[in-house]
Amino acid sequence: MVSGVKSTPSAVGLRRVECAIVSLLCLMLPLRFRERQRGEWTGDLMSLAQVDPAARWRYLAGAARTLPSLRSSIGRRDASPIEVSSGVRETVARILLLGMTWPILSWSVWVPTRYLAFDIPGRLARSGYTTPIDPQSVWPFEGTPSWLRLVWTVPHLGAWAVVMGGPFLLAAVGVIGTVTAVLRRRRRRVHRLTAAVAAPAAVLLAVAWTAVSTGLIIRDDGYVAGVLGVAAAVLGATTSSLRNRTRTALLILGVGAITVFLSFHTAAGIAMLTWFQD
Amino acid sequence: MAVLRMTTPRVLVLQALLEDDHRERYGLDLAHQAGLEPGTIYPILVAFETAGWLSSREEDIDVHAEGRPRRRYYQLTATGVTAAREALARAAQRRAARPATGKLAW
Repeated sequence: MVSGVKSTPSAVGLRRVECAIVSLLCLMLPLRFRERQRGEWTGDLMSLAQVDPAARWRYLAGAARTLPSLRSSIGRRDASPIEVSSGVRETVARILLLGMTWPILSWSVWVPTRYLAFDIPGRLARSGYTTPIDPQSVWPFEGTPSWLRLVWTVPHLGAWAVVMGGPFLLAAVGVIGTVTAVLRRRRRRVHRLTAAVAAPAAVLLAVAWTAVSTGLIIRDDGYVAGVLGVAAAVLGATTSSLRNRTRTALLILGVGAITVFLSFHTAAGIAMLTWFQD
Repeated sequence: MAVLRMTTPRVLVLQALLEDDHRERYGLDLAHQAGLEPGTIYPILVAFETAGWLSSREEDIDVHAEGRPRRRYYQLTATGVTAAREALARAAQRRAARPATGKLAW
């Protein structure tokens, strides 16, 4: 599907090249006017396709010829001084969504959920803070069997990427998000599968190797997570061209990432992180 | 009242609109009626709408059931009817005042 042309019934009956030209023409209009004009042009072309198919090229040529005049007629009222194309916003939103899902979800499940579900603060208090509770021993039940270790590694590394933050979190979000977003456009399943496995594996290895080689001393106190969280929440709240479920997921991830930041700056959060890191 | 420069296509659209100023029409329909090249009417409609001469509304349909996007219907406003009549009258005066040379344009 050509970028920007919706696969809704609104474009049924039009050839791809016509959809592409309409999209191109719409790109040259002020942002707020695009959908309206896309509907006008698409509807007219669909009508022409039924009664006079040969007139469609003439129609598009006329639309292209009068585009400067249309822009001028729309005037400054509908043109904002700085326009971020909805395509750019959507792409950034998708990269954040795809990139943040693994680390933020891993952190949520691996750190606060386990901390609270297994009553770690209570257990530590009851033991007089003398018995450390190994995080590895509390999921999914007391003592993780060896056959689950491989599964266990995925959320564990994701949680570590968040806790260490900085370059680790940025790399995870950036690389996974970008690669996955790009691959979703590919048609061949083999490309998707290969890159979907290879890219996260490369990131996991890079994170693990860097973490070990630096002695786990790099930490940014959640600032990168906080910034990413605010960006995701703002994009989720304001990008109306995204589907509702995508926006909701962005908002949830944004709140999750902001919670990471808060956990670094509250006593309860620091206790939880200390338990996880110890 | 906003003053718009009147070109021949604009005059043709106003004439088409004034033929039945209570009727709502969509762009392609108006273009056919005005005898304009298809695809060229929207700058004119938007200019009239921005000037307050036209109002527009989206058709109230289920796009999935109909299998097509909503049409936008245009109708002259009360201001637009007055302005359109005045503009057509001025255009007619200009045409009448133009000296007839009897020569072809080329």
